[in-house]
Amino acid sequence: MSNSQPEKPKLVMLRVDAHDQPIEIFVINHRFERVAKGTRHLETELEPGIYKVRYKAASLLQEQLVSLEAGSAPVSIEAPHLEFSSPVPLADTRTTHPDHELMAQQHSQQVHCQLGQNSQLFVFVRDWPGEKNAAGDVAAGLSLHDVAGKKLVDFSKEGARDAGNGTNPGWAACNVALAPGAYRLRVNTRAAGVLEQIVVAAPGWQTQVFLKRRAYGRGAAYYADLSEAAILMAHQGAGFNATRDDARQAELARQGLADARAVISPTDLRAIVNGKFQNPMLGLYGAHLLLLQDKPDLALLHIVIGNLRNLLGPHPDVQALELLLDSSAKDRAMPVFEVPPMLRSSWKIVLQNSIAHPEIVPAGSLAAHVAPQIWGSGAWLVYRFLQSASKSETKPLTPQHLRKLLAQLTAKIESDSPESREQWRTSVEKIAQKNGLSDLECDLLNYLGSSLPPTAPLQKTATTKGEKKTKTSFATSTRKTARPGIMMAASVDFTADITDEANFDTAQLPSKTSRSTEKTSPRPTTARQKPIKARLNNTQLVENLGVPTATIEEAAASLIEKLQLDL
Amino acid sequence: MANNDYAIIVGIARYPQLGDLQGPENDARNFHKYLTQYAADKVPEAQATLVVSSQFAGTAAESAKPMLEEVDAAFRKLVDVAYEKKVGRRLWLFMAGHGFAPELRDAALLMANASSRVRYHLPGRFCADWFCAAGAFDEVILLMDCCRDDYPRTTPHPPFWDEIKRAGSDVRNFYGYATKWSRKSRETALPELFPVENGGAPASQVQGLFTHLLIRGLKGEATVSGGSITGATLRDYIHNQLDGLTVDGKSQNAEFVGDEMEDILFVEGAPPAQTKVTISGAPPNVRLEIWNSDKMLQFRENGDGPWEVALERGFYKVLAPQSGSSTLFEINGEETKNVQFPA
Repeated sequence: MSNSQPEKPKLVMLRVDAHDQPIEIFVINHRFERVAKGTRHLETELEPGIYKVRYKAASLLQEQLVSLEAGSAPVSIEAPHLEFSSPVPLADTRTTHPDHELMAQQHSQQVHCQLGQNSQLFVFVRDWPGEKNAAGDVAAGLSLHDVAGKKLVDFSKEGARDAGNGTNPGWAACNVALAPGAYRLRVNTRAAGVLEQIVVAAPGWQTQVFLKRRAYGRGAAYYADLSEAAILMAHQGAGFNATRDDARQAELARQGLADARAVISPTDLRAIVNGKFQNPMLGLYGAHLLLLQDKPDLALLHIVIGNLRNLLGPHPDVQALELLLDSSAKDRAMPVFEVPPMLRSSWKIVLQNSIAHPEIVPAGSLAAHVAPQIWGSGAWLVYRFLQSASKSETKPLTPQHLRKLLAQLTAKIESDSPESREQWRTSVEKIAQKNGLSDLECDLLNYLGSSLPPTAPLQKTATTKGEKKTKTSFATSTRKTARPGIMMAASVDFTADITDEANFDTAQLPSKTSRSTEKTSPRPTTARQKPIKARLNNTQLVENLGVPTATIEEAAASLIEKLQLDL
Repeated sequence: MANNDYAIIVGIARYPQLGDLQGPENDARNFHKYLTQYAADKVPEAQATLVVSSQFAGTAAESAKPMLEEVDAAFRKLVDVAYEKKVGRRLWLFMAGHGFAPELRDAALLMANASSRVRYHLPGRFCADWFCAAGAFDEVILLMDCCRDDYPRTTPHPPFWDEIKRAGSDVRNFYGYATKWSRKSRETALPELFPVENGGAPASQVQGLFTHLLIRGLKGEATVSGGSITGATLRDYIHNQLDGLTVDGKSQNAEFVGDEMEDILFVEGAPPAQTKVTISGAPPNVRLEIWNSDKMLQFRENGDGPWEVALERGFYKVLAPQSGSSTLFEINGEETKNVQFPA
């Protein structure tokens, strides 16, 4: 019996090695299909042919072609050294500058501000070489505050600096000796408002924050970019070292995390763990990158977290990770997050755990206040600072009161409410303008209105075949013929400003019978809509509003006050 | 001409309350132009509805258009027909502007009157799925060039169309998002996609990276050996090209959704785009061979001076068998390419 199938060519082994660079490696065939993927090291067997090997480090990409000849021995290639961009003046990066490397090194070993002992925070702001650099002090608008908001350091006045010129980009450096703990790093960007993020100073360590300036909007002034900050750590006294491999690895890991790309493989992470941390930030980034894997190695995560705990002591990001490990323990002592963690991915863990344990983000805490103001993207939890965010002026509701309020609002939606979510939303907008509601307060009202159909139904029309079909629009063309409606009209005065629309009159609010058509002909719902009562549990509220329970309670309490609701 | 094909193309550049963009209207106009004038299966002009910001110039900030009403008007023509019967062969839905991701596998286009407080939006996937479930077309193509930021507090705002589910509807779909969930889509100045009328050099125009590559791919660059452009070849082409582009140092990765076993055939038997390749630097009077993967494609005996050949997209090796020296190069849709043979 003969075999007419052509013989398959013998596969050829391709090995790609990036050595210590945590870069992603892809292999693409001549059809431009991705046929293999790895991190730092890749080994794959391929049919003979020409392939493209692509290396990716942060946003930098480099490619090379490789030919695998039939019958050849394994082909090994080495990844090029990728000069990626970074706010850190690291050696062999695209955006470094010899002066910046030197100045960061020197000034990280001096103390410019003595506020306390046992820890340090080094802040280095710079412009990148070769870019059109902005005028003004490089550290303009940048300041350090304690958790209560008291200004501790104005970086535009403290430390060392060079304004730069056409060829030498400017920089500013300041090393602050302080007590271990959490601090607020703030930048007043003018155009985008005041932005903040938490930085944690750990005992015996120097936290190093590197910032690049950016324009906040077209034609706007340049200020430090918190969302793209690079944060490293070094033993106190060691200072910054532009050539340290772990700094390079940590920075690539940070950029990978910002882009949700798993740039450190479990093998690499294991090697890092085994080598002990020189830079705990690498451990923090690594732990979060591990969680991006399809099947995270929880045993390895356990080791990383244990190491971080030993190295850093109480640290909100480490405590957030610990929540993942202990989720099954019922009687565990839960950490309390008075301040949010540094990393956005840590905050997501906290938020998820706050559903079952609302007490972990206490009412009145900075974490609860800033939750609705999270800003931008990137690895860091950057939030827009509002004056009201510094201190709770409203006594938060108890969970029981919250449910009561929401239930009352719901009842109003179901009986006296507008016919559509569109109308509800329009009403909310007007209420917000009149009563100065915050974004979260608006969102809460809109969330309660989300059980409504998106728009009011149009009149029914008969089809030619005699079957009735309600054709509706998600536009607002029927708004003027429908009652705009508003909740709790009897107890609040904020309805007054919408009476100009569609003959609204609180005295003529529809009675239950006046809505008889709706009662007998239930409002159509889409498959995605859930009954509103099912949406009032803690899980639904936290997941849909994206803030912890305490924040929702505060928003609800504030609504009661602003709208003068009578519960 | 594909008389049974329809398109709804929306490009919103003016956002008084969020900040204007420069690219979406160009993207929408380019895509409309491609579909009606350049596509292998051209969509009749009357069936390709274009909704762009400049059609509504002069409206106040809070009532900036297009709002949902205007976009709805475009959809309603097809929705109304779909209630009664199948509409056509293929539906193209294209949307460009500010956006976000209401759900993990969705993207929503923000309307011109959206603000940070009230995010009026059109969820793209919901619209496309509606037409799929209705069996209104054989194929539904959704392409969205907008950011997919995660706004956790935005309640979904789906169009209020009565659900129609036609049993046994066998609709192929291809959904392409410019970026992954919670990521940004980017625009920058790129060469114009269509020939300039006066015959001059193509000027640059601000365009979305995704749309620019999408149109280039559909125009022929996503063709591989075999001469067809399918959902798979288009996806691979965009992934491959997008990886190599950055704006302000930021990269972008597209996301595609579709059944790979039921791939969409966009262009059948199209001659692959060819690049004029000039190979220089080879020693005189030697044999040169051009290999693609494991096949020899062309050779030149004892030639002298530069060797000009036309090649389609792919990876190649030019080899001088006598000496064994060779060089590898890639053709990726360029008009011309110079390859230097190693000395």
